[in-house]
Amino acid sequence: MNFNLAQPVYEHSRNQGARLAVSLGGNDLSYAELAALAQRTARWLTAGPSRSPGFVGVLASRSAEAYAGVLGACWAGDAYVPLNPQLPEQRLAQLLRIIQPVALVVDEAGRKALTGSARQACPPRILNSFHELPSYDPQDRPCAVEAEQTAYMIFTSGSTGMPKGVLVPARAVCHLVKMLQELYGFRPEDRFSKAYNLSFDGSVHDMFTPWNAGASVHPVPASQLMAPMKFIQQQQLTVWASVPSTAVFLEQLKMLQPRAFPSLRYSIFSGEPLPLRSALAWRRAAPNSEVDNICGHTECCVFSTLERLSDPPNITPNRGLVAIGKPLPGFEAAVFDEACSCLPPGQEGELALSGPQVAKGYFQDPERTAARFPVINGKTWYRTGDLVCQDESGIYHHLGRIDRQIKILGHRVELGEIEAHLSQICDSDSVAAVAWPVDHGSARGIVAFHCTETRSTQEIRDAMLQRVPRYAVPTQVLRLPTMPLTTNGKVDRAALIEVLERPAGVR
Amino acid sequence: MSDGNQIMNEKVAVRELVQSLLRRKGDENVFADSDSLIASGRLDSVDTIALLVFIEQQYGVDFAERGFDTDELDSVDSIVALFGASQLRV
Repeated sequence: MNFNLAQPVYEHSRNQGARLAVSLGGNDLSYAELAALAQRTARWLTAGPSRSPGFVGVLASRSAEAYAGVLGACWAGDAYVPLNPQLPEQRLAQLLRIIQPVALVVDEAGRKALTGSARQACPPRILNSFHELPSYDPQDRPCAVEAEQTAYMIFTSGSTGMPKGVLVPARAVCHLVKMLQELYGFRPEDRFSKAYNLSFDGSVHDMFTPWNAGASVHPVPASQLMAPMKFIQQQQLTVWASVPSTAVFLEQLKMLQPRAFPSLRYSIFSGEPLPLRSALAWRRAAPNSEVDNICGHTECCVFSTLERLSDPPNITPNRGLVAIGKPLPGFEAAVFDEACSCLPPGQEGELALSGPQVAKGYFQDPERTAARFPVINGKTWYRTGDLVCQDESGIYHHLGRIDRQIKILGHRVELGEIEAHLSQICDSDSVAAVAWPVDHGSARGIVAFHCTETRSTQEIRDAMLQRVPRYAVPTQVLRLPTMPLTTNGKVDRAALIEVLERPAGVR
Repeated sequence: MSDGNQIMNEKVAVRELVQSLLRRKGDENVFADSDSLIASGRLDSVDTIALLVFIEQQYGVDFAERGFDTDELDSVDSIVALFGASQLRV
């Protein structure tokens, strides 16, 4: 079996080449056009002396270049690494130095992002324009890819200040796509939203699930991501996938009109907790759609557990959240204690997952890989860090995190990483970062605390903007005369939250 | 009141709101009326909700009915232009 992720696109280009593959508002790509772009990009990537598979950086988003870069890398047998053009220069340079890509594929936004130190960290080969591509060769097919070959690497926040690259093998993506196809029965007529940014692993589903089914991908313009009502209606989408925040915001703003989205067959929410209230409002707006809450982890190739909104719904007690349900086909789930022993239903512990979607580990980090991916009785598990409990009917409930990782609009942020940067910027260890406010288990912002008198709030904020993605930049920076400490001498985070919850003016 | 004065007053009110939202995050940098606020990342989705609520309350715009595009709220100028659209007037 060939595990090349470009294989389905190649096959559809032969059998139904004229069908829509990607809707790009006036620059639509059919399967024949998409496959040709992928193949020409692959030929550009492999031109010159023979080399082993490497990383191809895709510094692009929601553009033909982004999809050509992703599929071209797959076609050539390389692994793609999505890079968000909105990353600050220092962060982009840091990532490029870690990745050492064999080449970069950029779109217009990506080209603008390559300044200063990021430009210096670039590989010599950069694909700036499709005009540089060799011609189409009708004989050329996606190359043979083995199950364990890395398909892509996605970076997540690391607690030490260094981002972690998650290496996902081809077999994991092939399993995800095949499993979802069997579960949902997607059709070539289906029209999928593409709401996730390329650097967010939800985009792996956004692209490869529809392309496997011969269906079409509809990237949501950035300006309509918060309120995609018109986009869903105009594009007649049948499958919506996004972070629950979309439903939460629209519900809060009373923008989810009943029967607004009759075309939707499936609505998939993943990346953060799904409040029941928002899920019910979405179901009223999309009466022909199933509403699914999927829990996922980059280390387990996008989606791991599923709860379909039922009547009555399975909710997590006292939290107003839809349960995270049961493991998806192929997954084995367990609740671990600190020693990785399985706990019985009813007890709280860490969600652990095993199965064909589990990633290979972290790039150049064998220690962290061994800690997070323990092999127990010959089986590799991923310790998710999610605090869960399984009820008597086998349904899992998400209760929070056992570490200091938070989610902001589905993006993982290690508060330890924010503190590591703050500490460097302030040249002091008296720093702290807390998630605040938290709404239904989802952080809406990060508040940074420090005690330094030599750095202004503006300077700290500007320095953070250079180091971390926008969503991880503290929404408030507060200076305290002294950092509150617990009796153990650790930062008293509860006291910091108390400071924030005091009425304004009392701080 | 002339239309010119009214637009000026609207602009002052919008600038004050934007300034308070930016200040809350420690962003004291100056901003021009044409500067991008949302696409540039200076304001986030929570701030956008604050903007929407303000416009709804002050000017009776029903976003639930008409929807919105963040481009329409991306600068002080574009927000004021929203008020100017006759179909949005109270």
